[in-house]
Amino acid sequence: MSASTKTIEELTRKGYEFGFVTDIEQESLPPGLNEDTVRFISAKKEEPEWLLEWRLEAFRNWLEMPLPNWAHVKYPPIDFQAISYFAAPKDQPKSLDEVDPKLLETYEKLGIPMHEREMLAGVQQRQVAVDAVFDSVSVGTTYKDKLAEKGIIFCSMSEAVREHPELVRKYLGTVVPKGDNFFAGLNSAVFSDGSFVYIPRGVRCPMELSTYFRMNAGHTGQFERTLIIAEEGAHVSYLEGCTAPMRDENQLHAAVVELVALDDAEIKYSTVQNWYPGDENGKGGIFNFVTKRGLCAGKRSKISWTQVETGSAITWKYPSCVLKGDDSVGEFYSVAVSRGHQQADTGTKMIHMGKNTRSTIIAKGISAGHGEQTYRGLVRVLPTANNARNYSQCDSMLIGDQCGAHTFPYIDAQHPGAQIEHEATTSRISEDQLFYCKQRGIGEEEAVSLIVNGFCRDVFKKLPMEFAVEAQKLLEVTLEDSVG
Amino acid sequence: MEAAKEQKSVYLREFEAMPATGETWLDDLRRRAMADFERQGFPHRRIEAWKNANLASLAQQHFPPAAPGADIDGYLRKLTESVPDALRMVFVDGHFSARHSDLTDLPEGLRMVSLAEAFEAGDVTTDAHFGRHADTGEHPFAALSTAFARDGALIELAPGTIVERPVVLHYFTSEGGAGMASYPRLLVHAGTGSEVRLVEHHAGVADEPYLTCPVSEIVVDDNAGVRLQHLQESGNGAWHLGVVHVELGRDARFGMHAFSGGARFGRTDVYVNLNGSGAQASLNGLYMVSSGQFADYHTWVRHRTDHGSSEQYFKGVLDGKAESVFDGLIHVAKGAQQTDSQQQNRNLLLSPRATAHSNPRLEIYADDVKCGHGSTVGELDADALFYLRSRGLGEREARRLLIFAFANETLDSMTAPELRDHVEARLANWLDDDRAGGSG
Repeated sequence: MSASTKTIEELTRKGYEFGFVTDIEQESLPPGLNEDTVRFISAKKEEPEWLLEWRLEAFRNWLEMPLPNWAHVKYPPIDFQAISYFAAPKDQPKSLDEVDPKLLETYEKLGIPMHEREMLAGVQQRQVAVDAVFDSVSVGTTYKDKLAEKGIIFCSMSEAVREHPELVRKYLGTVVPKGDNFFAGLNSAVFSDGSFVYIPRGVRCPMELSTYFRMNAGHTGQFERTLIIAEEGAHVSYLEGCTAPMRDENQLHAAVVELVALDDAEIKYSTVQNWYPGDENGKGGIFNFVTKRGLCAGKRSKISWTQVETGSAITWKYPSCVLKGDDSVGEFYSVAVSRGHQQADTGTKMIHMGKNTRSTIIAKGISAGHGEQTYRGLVRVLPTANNARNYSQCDSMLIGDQCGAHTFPYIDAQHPGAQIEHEATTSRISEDQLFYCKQRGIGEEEAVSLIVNGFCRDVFKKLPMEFAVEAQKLLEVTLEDSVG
Repeated sequence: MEAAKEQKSVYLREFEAMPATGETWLDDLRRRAMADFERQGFPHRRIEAWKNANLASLAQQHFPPAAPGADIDGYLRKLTESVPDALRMVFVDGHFSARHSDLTDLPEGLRMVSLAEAFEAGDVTTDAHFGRHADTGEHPFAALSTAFARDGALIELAPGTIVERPVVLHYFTSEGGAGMASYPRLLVHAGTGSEVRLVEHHAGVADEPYLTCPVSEIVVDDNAGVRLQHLQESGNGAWHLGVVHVELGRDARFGMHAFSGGARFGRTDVYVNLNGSGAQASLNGLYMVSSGQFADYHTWVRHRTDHGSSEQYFKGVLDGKAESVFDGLIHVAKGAQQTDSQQQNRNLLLSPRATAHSNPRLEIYADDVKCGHGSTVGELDADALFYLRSRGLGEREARRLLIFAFANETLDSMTAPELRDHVEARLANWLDDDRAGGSG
């Protein structure tokens, strides 16, 4: 066994630095799921009658649904009655100033700015508006007033239901219907909080919007729901980050994200997912079973997904684009890392409906240790999608001989005018590459990092700047000790 | 669903009515296979490997096993002419027809007999290999075939035997087989260092519904080589659901070219297991699908050990309201280091109503491997068309030329070059049916 294999192995065994627990007084529902749970959550959030009905309908429908088993992942059966469906810090703050300092400290520790810092003279600090979600509730949203001046609504989902029910009612469940799949069905019944974004006609959002999800309480699941609407000609870039404490149990995170882009609108959605991946023996960690879908409803609209997936014991997510408007564009850029005993089954769906629709898929999977990595994608061209174009590329890198990398890129073409291309490769860091770097005086670990970063470059350059740096660092940390 | 359930019991009743062979191992094997089929039933769309296949109407119908068939001399003449100098076995409606076959001058070391005869004689090779490879637990039609198969070809090569003449197997469904089912088998055992070239040809009566589930099991020992030319030209009313299952030893070689232009529903699952170090497999194919047809190739290439190499290259041309599936698996097991595996699928859609599914699947559990695949779906290149037209070719002629060129490329890898003229003629005929017309 060469020296390089050793470093690679060491690199993958690095600890998880966000694994602390915030000691804060919380109230939570006892574990269990029935109609009363749904009613409780709805009542707690002071929701209107129609939403409760919507939830109950979703719940009754969910009871009939079978658990999907097609994903290339293995996990013990989930006991849906052993999960608590609602947990929140006891003191609900009215405004940012009243937020429990412990919570602010938590976010500070995670590196999330919760203060609306003034711009310092000479130092151009970019502003990012943050919505912080702690277990089942949003604890604060920054820069709300500044955004409101432009007519932008950026708030928690619960607040949106109270303040802008007409918008929520119009769009909720239109992209991901409540019976879409097993976990989306569960989410529709018990969703707690998430972000709501509305960009009015012709407005270009002046700053990045960001939501930070934190799971803190034990034995809970997080079921957030995010809805982003970009009106005609609007533009928004949205970031999402997530972490959770280290626990021996598996916690379920079943989110739904819906995006709607009308004529000429553009939504850029970036995720850096760093849920707790479990320990080196594969014990504990988050089950990240997420449904994300964007609807390019309008002509010339564009939705772009960028994701960096390094956390979670199991990831099961397929951010998708339904390209309904003529000339609309869908993009998917992904870097997924699975190390330790992590399993990731992730990819995208591009559904071409409108004329001249285009989509691009770039997926990079890195598998190390005992990690299992699957790219699963679907490009479907419907008979109405004249002149549709798709280009997909998915590359896998294997580090070590105990891991797996799998690719399932399905293509269904129903229009002769479609041009669909797909390429995939699987490789490892070759001895030659390492030797070349070392010969130039670059240390082994640094060389691996260099090669891995080069491998992911196509995706990282699509991330907003701050995130790109964070993602690169995260990747280094993730793979640290796994190369040798 | 109800109908399918009912149907299952029809096949089971038929199975139970058949006399036992008296060979314990064979009767046990068949009973297990029948139980496997009963458990699985006709596959439906919720089963991943069958999600694009619509078998509802097959499940509604019932095809009883066919009796030895009628006269086929007329059909056969044309086919024998294309490969004149061959060792030939002909099966009509699933039954061996000695009259049509030509087994004169069998070279030393080659044994060719009908399976019915081998079963009768209590042959050891059949005992060791028949029904032992095709996975009846996974593939419902392999199960049905193993349960009902009564006849087929047994081809056995002694170690070191090199057979120069091609071995041709015709499986023909006659007019008497209309509305019936046949389950023809092929069992090949190529001993160490032997070599043979096979043609497996399926054809049948036109415009009549019938079911055929051919299963070929090919065992290639260390350092042996088998090349297979597979022609699926079943009648246009046929349900053709076949399996080709190959086991490869150390440094063994398997090359296959598949051509399909027949059947209303044609599917062939090709399983290749590379069990020995340094084994090589190459699978190529062309499917031409017109209105009302469904063509499906599923490949399952499993690299079980190190230093294996495999390549797959399939092309499809679709016209009218046709549908095709290419679903190709490359599985590289743990420890199968230094594997080199490639896969390509290209589809040409000539009509807005045609649907092509391309499902490449890579499952890789070893790190020192080279694996890649690519797939494309598209129409004729407008620039190429323009270029040809600018050279004075009419639109029709230009389209025809481009389609022919697209399809013809895969014929270079035919394992029976004698049949190239036959396939090219089919292709030309197919194009003459005004497919080049640019119906749009």
